[in-house]
Amino acid sequence: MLTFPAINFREWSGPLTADLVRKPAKFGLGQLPARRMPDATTKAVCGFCSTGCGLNIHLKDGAAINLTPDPDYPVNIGTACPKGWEALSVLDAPDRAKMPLLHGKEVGWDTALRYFCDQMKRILDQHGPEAAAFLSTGQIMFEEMAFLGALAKFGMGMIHGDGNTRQCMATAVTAYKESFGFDAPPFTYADFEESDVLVFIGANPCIAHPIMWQRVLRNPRSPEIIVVDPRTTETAMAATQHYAIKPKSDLTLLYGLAHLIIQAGGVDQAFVRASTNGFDEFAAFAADFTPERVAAETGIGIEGLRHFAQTIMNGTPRVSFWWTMGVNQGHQATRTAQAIINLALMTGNIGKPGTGANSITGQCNAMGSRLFSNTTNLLGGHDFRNAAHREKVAKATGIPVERIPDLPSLAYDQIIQAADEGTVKAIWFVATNPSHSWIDQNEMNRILGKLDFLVVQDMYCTTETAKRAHLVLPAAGWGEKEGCFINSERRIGCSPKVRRAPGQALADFHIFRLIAHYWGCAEVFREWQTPEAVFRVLQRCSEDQPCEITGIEGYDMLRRSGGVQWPFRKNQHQTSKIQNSERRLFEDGSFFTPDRRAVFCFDKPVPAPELANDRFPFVLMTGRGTSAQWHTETRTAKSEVLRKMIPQDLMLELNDQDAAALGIRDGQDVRVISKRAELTAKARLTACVKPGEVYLPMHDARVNQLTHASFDPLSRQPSYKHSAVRVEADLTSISLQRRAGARTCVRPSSSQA
Amino acid sequence: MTMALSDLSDLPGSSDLLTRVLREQQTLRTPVALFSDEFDSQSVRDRFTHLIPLSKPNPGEQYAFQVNLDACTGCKACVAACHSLNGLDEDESWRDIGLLVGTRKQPYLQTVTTACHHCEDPACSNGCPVLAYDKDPVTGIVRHLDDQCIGCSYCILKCPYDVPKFNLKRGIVRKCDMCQGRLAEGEAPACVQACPNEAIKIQVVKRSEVPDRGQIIPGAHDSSYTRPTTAYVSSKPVPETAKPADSSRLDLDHGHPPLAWMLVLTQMSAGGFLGAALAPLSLNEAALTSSAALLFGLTGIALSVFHLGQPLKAWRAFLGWRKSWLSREIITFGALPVCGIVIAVAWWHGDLLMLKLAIGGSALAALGAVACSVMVYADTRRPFWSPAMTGGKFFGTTFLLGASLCAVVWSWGSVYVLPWAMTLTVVLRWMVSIWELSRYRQALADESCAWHKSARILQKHHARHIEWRGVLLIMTGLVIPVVIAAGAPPPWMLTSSLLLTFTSQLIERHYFFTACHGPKMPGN
Repeated sequence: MLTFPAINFREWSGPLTADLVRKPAKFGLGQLPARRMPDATTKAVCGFCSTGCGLNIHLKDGAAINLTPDPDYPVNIGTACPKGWEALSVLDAPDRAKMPLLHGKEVGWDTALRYFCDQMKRILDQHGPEAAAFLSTGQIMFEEMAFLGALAKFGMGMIHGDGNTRQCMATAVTAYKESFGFDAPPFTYADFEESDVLVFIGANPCIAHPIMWQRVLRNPRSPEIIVVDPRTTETAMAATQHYAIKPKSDLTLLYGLAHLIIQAGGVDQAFVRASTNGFDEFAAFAADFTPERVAAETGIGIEGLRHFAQTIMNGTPRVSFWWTMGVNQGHQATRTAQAIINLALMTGNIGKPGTGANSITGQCNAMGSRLFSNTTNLLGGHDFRNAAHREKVAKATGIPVERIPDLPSLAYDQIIQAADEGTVKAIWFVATNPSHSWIDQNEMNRILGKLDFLVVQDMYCTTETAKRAHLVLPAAGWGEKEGCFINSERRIGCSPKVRRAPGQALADFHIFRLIAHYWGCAEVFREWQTPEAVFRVLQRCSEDQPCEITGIEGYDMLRRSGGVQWPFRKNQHQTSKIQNSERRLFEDGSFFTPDRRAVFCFDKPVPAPELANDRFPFVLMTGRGTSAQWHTETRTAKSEVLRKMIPQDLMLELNDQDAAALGIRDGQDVRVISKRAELTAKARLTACVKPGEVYLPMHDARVNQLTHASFDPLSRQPSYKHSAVRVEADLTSISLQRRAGARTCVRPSSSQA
Repeated sequence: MTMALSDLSDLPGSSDLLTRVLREQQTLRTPVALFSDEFDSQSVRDRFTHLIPLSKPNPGEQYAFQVNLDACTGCKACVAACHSLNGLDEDESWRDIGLLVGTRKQPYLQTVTTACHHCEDPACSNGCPVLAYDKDPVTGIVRHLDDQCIGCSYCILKCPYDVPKFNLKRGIVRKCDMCQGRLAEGEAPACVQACPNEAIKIQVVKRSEVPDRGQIIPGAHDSSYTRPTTAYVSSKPVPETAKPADSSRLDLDHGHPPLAWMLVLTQMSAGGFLGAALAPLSLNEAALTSSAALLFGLTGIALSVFHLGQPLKAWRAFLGWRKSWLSREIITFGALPVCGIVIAVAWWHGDLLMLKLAIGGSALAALGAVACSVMVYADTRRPFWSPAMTGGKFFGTTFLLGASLCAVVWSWGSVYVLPWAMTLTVVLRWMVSIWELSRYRQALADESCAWHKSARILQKHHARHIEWRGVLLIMTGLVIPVVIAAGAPPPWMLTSSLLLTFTSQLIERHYFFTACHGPKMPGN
């Protein structure tokens, strides 16, 4: 842009200066760029992670032009992570799916929907109700999840459907169900602020849940912050105690801590006797986990173990335990989560302020998926196998009971296995990208190639999975549709439609309505006209369940109140209390099991399925890269600002000593090789990973080609945290340097593998 | 596997529903009226009063960022908020986040948020040829005047923290203004508002107490250069082994092609003038030689305009002469056209003495311009552009191409001093190249060399270019002289030699920029 000079020596103002002028805005927003002045605002809940931050959407002529974090929302109190700040800009990406794509060619919706129904009907008719399945997500609104689950199972007659929540939360679900009698994370975010001791196990909230970390730093009690993680993460750096255990020795560590606490008399006997079952058996079991054994297996010294246990005892009754993917994605994940629950139960650290065995969820609507996706559970946390539950849900939804299958779904990995064996012939993926994210990705892609019919319903037509699809259905994204999310602390929040979707992209909700119509089962779903109508159906389904939400009057109430945590029953009309209080579960020591007692669940630790060996001497761990990246980056990579925040290359974290032994220097290209695949990354030498361990962020599509597919037998969650790899200097780059006459190679001073 | 679309053909109401749903999707029914006015959240002004000063700085004081490293845990919300609350371009943010990592035994990880340091002695401002920077006398905020900027990018080269960024769309530089308008109204800057952990604060500091030595954080440039006012505080000392996570990156900087051409052409011009001034030439020979020098000099100056984002405003480039070497360089270049006129007049009059004086003056002016060019880069304090390195390269180019140019002009005009020029060209060709190459090898081998990184960038990205320059050296320093000695016609040979030498110097000037490895704050 060429501008002409003014007739003076210094131009203090002009068009380029005006470009950046900020002016006072209304709505308590302070100064905003004059070019982006809102004429109204509305509130939304962020659609990335499970923190569930409130966002003020700035509107102009009804459409969103910008956003700021909502200072009045009880979750985030006016802040957001960069993903939230950029939630609108990723909607403008040029690779948004704008029309249905049939074999890569744009077609009209009518053609696409007819094709979809034809294919699915053909496959279901020819091969039976188990031959087609859907795999959905924790990223869409739960009214949509419920519609998908109900449409597929009650309308189209499928048996199997699961979600990508299998990759993140299945373990917490299974653990809570068995231990508490219901999938019920007991905590509220205020617990971060009210603990004297916070124990983070396999969690890196500084990066993965920065706004939860904000709550930790608001804790006025100068808490002890303990981090259990093989890596020195950002959170470990900020902690007061860090236990860098050997990868996947967490279960042993937790049993060892239980043993030390039992021995030291740290058990809350009154609580244990009144509110739990199985403690004595557990105590006897834990006795085998002597400090000597645990020290040897975890790599933590005996003194360290004692200090850890003592810190928990000193902090009781204000000790909270928090876990995420480091625990959930393990080969004995459920038992590990339950070992954490056991610690909370035996010390009575539950149901009180600043306590709890607390699973931090992953996706924005993982909790909604757990309750209402109609996959593993029948709508509202019910059981497909239970005839009374089927009757109840039939009554609540108005769907004929005979349409409700009496079989629960196969788990994600079992559906994929069935596809490999040829019994599943069609899969409908909704808002998920397994061609990138699934463990042992090449195997996944091989199996996807065998399907007769692969449908992908997504915002973007360029995801790795969408590129393989026979049919792509273009979906509207967050902000382009309405509905509710449930966050980690069970808070239901509402998100409005503030943008027009590009082209003919449609809200998932609309797509399901259309499919119901084209399938010929619209009559079954005649009440399911709008997300809010479905919300009411689901409220009825939740009746008398621990997750009952019948007291919520509607979307307006959710908007007004800053979200409502479940349970919220019809007679629970203490409106002032919902707004200001953060509610936790089990305050009365009563759980959701038939005898109202929590259960101690435990099992012997076994070694990880793929151990480091002579050929592959390193343990590869994978996980979050930066706070600016989300899963397979289908959205976050579309924001140029977010892209600025991430390293330009895939970085392999490698210990200095290993690097020295391998002759690898910082920033050098290295090959990372597993039994399954290999990739090239740049070495980042750091003492933050221990010798023998390496770390790769999961966002690069190549990383899951390396990972070894093993699953927790109880939750069927993939174990992303323990694969064996070999690391080699990339010889091509070295030979280039040699050729150019380098004499600068740093010779390692020490060498120890 | 396409199947016929079949049995559903007579589905009643399909197109109705489809139309309705598509229309519904495009309708925004945000319940604005319902609740947009319903809440009146605590205003931004009240929420952050504890993070900004309550009153304006007193005389001798200024505003400064303070970053609490203990609270900076890598969420990067400040970067996104700066972008969003200031209405910046898609890829633009005035804040950035880097990472410090520890190596050897001590695990260490620290994210570092960084923006403009609003230096006490701002190098950007000191270097700006058009006074497009203003250090506010009250707040000390270093503000960039977007409409004054000519887009010369010199502030980018001058700032040791990589703060000013070129905005291609607008042809100017933009940078952080500490949200001065917000501060003036008692509102916190965007980044301060956005940090979940309140890691960023605005404080008032005494200008005299702004540190003039050490580094504000490991990996940052020495503070003596600009006296940055940002303070990084932490309860945990940053270990000595900590280094920026991107410290091993060997990235190319911008190549600034118009500048590379300008520098080589103007230096050749200065050398040509010098030859014309020193050699015992006749009136026409002197006029011809100096015209050639003038032509290349003016071409170089003209090309440099392509470097500017806002060339129409470049007439103000003299304004910064008190501090800016770029301003001084431009002023000295401005003397060249004047010299040309004087030379022409002297030649017209047929006055050899006057012509000699005019050419001598021109040579001095042109050499002065080369000296200014050296200082333009040396003044950035970048190791690769040290006065010795830049001086050696620029004056080496001046003498070498000057001699070569004279040799070409004189060979076509059969001037009797031609052998001198030819000999000098060959000698200089080898001297300059051997000097340059030996410095490069030395810097590459010696890790403690200040421009070791630049040498590694040369090795990594420019090995091929260096090889080509070796070939050009053999051609011009050996093959062509031998061929001339064997009887080939000197005019054509010397002209080829000039072209090849020019090419070689142009390649060198390209990586003079790309391999510079400018200093910056820790990156990812």
